[in-house]
Amino acid sequence: MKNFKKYFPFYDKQSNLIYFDSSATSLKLKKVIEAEMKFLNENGSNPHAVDYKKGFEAFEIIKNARQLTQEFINAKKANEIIFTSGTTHSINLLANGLKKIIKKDDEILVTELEHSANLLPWIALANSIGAKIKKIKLNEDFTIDQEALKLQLSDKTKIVSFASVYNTVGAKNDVKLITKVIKEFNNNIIVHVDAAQSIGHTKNDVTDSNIDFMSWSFHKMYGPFGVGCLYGKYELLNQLEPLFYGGGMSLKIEENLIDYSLSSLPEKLEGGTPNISAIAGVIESIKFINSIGLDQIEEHELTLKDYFKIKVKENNLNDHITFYNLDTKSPIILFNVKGVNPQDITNFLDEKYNILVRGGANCARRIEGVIGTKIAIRASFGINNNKAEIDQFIEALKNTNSFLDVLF
Amino acid sequence: MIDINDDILLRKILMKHFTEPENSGLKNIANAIIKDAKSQTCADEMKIEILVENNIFKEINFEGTACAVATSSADIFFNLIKNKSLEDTKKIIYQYQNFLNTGDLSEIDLLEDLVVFKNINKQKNRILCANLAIEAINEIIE
Repeated sequence: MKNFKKYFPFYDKQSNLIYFDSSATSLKLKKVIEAEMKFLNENGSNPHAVDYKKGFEAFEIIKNARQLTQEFINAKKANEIIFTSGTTHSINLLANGLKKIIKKDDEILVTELEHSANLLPWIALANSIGAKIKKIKLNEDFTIDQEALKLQLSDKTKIVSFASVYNTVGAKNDVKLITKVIKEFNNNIIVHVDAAQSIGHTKNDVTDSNIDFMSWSFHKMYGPFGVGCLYGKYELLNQLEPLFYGGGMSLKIEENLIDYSLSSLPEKLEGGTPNISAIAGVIESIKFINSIGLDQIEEHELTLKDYFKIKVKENNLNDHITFYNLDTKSPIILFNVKGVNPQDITNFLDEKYNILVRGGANCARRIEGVIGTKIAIRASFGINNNKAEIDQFIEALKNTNSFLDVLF
Repeated sequence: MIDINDDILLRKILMKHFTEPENSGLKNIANAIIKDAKSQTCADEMKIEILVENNIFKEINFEGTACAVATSSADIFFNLIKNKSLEDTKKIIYQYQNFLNTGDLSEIDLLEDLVVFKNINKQKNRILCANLAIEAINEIIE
């Protein structure tokens, strides 16, 4: 198993910490941090200020990042890539942008496992125009039930929005097949994929899967905070109403202060000065993932999960711990220690074993309907992790009956 | 008086209030105030039923899902302020919150079993847990 820790300055002064929260955000690469700093130290100008060399350099950084992003997800055109502040912004931009297209009594299909960013914007959209949200049925392994989905689709269905991988149970949907089912029923139904949880771990090919829109954040691919992406097929993307109006997106405002014309894509949907220092970091995060290869990353992470599964069995951890998703194909472990609240365990793991995991609802507020509890502990792996850390984790889980030791 | 250095005893007190809280279960008391205590940072949540008569806390019950620290602190605290005036409770809250933040034990008599949280000040994220129900009562007093 390769050691990737050297790429992450996180470990430089605290090599004892075990970071198992890549689902919330991945650790940041040295090269990403350096690229952000380099831009801030040596440039810092506005990418809209192309009149002088430094401004043009900033403009070129965005162009370069957009092209790399296009290639990364295999989009057909670079102007199908809209930079946003993150997944939440992307999905709000999309949901808001579809306001004129969605009508009263239309249906929007989602699953109960979506995190808040892929639920609230749709609920708000539906409520504002009297459309309806419908839940997509799930299989026992938490993936979308394609047969049930066929029956749920109707003439009223306008949008289907789901995660490629869920941030809690980690089930991986077959995006291509699900999209095929939807498009065969009606090619005009808009398919949106929330790739926040999968983008840094597995290939998301928008052309091959034929989806219409995709959202994610770069901070989950070892990249910078504060920048994400909305991908959309050009014709559909071009129909979206902007969420923000401002600088860099308008071509002309008439003297009557009524009429205006907007720039073409992508600027049309990118009003305001972008997070340019973060976008400089985006370039390095994509280059890094490309250099390792998503297939290698996925293999590394799934090897860790398989190893964890074996160790759970060897140590009979099932006796006092409920594991909800050991068999899903993503590097996320969701569990509860019987009779103990998650936060007591996350605190114990942190204080006694330097293991950083999350407890609680993990932003997927409707998960209760799927796993029977609304709170659980989530450990999520990245390429920065190794088997020795899993061993330490297993050791900690063997000793959870001492969880109160942290207080005395 | 409780021996604050007897960690085994303190641990027992905390566990008992977590696993068998004495004030658990709402009673649908007429004229009771219902207050939701919901953490902003984690999934802990409690519904608290409070009956105040003549400025005295006559009854306090709660239910919900919360960690060991939040549950036991609520249960111990409710025992402590029952039949006490709003004014006296305010003093206890002031001392308790100071104790949570700093570990200051100068008013140990006032806090009674709440001293089980003597080390919380060293783990700042758990102060929120130990304060969850107490903050809800504080809001009612204010």
